[in-house]
Amino acid sequence: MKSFKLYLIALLSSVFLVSCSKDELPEYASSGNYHNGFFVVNEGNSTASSVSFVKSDFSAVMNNIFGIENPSQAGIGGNVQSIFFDEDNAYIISGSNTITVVDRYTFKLIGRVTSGLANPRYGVVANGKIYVTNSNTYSYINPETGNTDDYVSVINLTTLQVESTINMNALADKILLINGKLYVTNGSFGEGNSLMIIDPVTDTITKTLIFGNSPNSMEAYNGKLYVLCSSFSADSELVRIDLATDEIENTITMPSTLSNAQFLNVENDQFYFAVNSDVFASAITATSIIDTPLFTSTAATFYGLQVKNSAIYVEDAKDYISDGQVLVYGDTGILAYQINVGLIPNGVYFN
Amino acid sequence: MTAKKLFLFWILLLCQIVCAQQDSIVKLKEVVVSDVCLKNFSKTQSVRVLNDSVIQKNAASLTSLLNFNSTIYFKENGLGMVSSPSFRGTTAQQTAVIWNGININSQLNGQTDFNTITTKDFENITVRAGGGSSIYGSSAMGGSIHLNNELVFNNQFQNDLFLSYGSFNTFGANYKVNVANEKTAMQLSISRNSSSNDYEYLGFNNRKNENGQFYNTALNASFGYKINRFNSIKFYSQFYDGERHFSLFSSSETKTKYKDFNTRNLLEWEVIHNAVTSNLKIAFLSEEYKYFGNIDYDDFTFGKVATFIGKYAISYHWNDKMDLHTIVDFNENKGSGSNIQKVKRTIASGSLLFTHDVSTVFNYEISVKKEETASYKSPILFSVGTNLAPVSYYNLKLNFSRNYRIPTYNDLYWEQLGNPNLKAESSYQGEISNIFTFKKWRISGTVYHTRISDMIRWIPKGGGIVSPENTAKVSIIGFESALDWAISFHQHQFKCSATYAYTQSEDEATRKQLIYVPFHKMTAGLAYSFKRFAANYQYLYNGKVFTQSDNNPDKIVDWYLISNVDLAYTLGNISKYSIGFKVLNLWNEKYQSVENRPLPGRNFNLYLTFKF
Repeated sequence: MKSFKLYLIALLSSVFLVSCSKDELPEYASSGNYHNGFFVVNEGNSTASSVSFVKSDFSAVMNNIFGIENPSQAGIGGNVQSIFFDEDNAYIISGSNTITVVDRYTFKLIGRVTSGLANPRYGVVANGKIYVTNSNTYSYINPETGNTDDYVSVINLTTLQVESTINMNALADKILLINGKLYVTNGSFGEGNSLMIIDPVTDTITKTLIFGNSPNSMEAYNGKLYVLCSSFSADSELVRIDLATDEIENTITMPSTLSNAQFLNVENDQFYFAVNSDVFASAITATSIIDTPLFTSTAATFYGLQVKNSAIYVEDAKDYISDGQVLVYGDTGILAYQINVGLIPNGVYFN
Repeated sequence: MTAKKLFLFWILLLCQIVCAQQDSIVKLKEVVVSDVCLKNFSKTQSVRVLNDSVIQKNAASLTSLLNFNSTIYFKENGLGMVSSPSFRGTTAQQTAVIWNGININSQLNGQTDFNTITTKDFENITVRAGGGSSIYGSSAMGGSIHLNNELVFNNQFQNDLFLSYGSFNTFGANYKVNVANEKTAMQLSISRNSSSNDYEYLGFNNRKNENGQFYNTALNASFGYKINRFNSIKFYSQFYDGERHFSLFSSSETKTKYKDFNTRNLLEWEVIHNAVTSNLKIAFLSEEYKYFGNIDYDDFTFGKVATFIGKYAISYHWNDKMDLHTIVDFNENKGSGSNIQKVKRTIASGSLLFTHDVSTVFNYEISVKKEETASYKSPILFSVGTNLAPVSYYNLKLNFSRNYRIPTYNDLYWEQLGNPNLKAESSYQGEISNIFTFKKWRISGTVYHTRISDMIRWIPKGGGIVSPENTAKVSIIGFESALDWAISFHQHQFKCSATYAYTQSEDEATRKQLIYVPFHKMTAGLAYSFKRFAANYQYLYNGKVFTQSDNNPDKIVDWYLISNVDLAYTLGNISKYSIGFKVLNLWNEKYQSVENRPLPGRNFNLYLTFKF
């Protein structure tokens, strides 16, 4: 009983957990309308993750919104990887092998996927079905098949039951729906070097593109798919795929100083990506990448990067055992906001 | 080079000792332990002995024994899961576990998992608070826990059997046999513990502890033989084999398990000739873990280290008043694993220990140790202390020491991430103890201050990489108190013991309390016996702990207060049998020691003991 009361107090007090060392954000009083703002996924630890919401004018932040909106329900699991959306629903993918389905505007619980997943990563809805990539086992534990046992779960949108799986015989990580086709990167922590295209009508792999390095992020922009490939050893590559033909059109090899480049974003006709704490920008028409950063982030642990309109969002995981921050920079790298969120923020999602 | 010099110094010293004293009287004690320093060089610090009867009354894990009987705080990832201590506000790697005088902390991660030590195999478990690195080596910063097998040299043939069964299909057994005469003593024991460990989570709708089952088996042997007036040999051996499934927080999680296999062997040859004692110890230790990241597959990651220790001590005992020990120590580790490079590490050290009872009211101790190794940088360690007894019922102890914790295999040799340039963590510690001892009661209070520098922490390096560095400084101020009281009238006997600790352990840069270090901890035990009946009540209060380094007041594990009760009745005359019943967590308190890792509610245990 005592702990339950404390739990409630913790939930209530997290409403007031609003602080901002640069511009103090007031508490976000109203609940039930998570519109015109962005979610922050706080990866947390193996048993507790959370989601924060920040208004798009940066006027207020609310932490632990799932707990606030669903106080009597079990949480969203631990090690939350990502969120994806479909119509009015948001799907929260947790490393506890769970997907929690909520209303994206009220964050009220709708349902859960609790079986058929093994270290799920990213998801998308296509052709009336949910597609989720699964890392399954890892090569550092299972050297024989850790890099080839990844799969895509195909989940019924209504029953939330896994209906089938597509074995990738490779790694499976990021997934995008473009022009009715699924694009899945086959890379993880510098391993794997391809991208597969899945037809969601037949649920089969229709094409595989091979890169010179390991894909870690991708974005579609004006009829092209841009893929950033990198590892700790080989030079990073920026690959352009023509979405009309699904063929590689161009590959830019980056200077060796930019190895392990991460977090590709394409916005305002610019590429944005990060190497350690440095954020780089380059015109998409450029034929080479120069190793001069746009700015260096003050993040103690640079954990994620998103660019939307003229704002650059950096997630700072700090020392992994204290509340993290979302740092919001202007497009020239001037720090505008520091927003205190939950434990280990790893991404922002605009709603 | 330094080791060589020390060796020469010792040779010179040896000659002087041998020549100087030939006339002291040799006394062999009936009860012999391997760890003589615990008695002879711990007079200026606070030492709490948990003897056989206390050990027998408590649950089989070292976590449970110390949780209810000492000021040490434990962070337990669910019942029987990984358990790490915080002693005097330090980290789990800053508490040393000493098996028959040999440091057995893991070379891989620097700590001992207190749920992998079964207590019933030892006759004496001693908690030595405060720094002890100059005697016991790495990790003896917060304090050290000593697991001792006692060899008793008198005619005996005694068997002890303990059997218990309780909630969650929890089974415990321990069988011990002692065979001895005046010349030879032998003890063999075997322990087995297992549990389905599927307890219900209080306050969660019908959720149970899933995938929490464990078992462990420990085999122990101790052997002592007095060859003649001067020579004796001792041999200690332990094998531990355990498997734990790691419990899930939610049913959909991937199931994992963990296996430990540890062996410890120690051979000791002692020659006592007049005032000089020569003691040679040779020890082989091995540790191995296997982690199964998904129990549906046979794949695992592992780490293992084989350790050889050669230790030679020459002691000079002067007029019953002064003791000088000179110790040279050679340590070789060979480690390998899925994620660590295959590395051989050698460490040599030399130490000097001196204790002097100037008079019955004044004793002092000095010890110094220096280590030589190519693997890391390590400081000169020392301890100076005094024990004053101005009146018969009062002792004042002062101690000042420098202690350290060496970088582990993981810190130094983790593939690509390990940092080969690490220094040892080191600390200065000062403490003052006041002890009042009367006929029926004893009360002590200790204040201490510890400053730790070069704390090894895994620091984010960008690109999702973390790597260890000597970075933080920690300042700890604390107070410890213990009370023991015993009274009997007619055939009624009461015994009461209690401990309390206040601990403020701050990162010097942020002025924040370290995570999982409670400000307050209190234990109490009340034992009552009347003729053949015995009752025992235990009580544990753990204050709240922060789970985040920013001390976010909402991210805490709340305080809890739990109690156990134990009732036992003894039968038989020559052979003794007793039957007992325990209720653990008597008031069905909902609690956890790690965030989101609930511990069991009220549960029961029935046990039988036989002595024959």
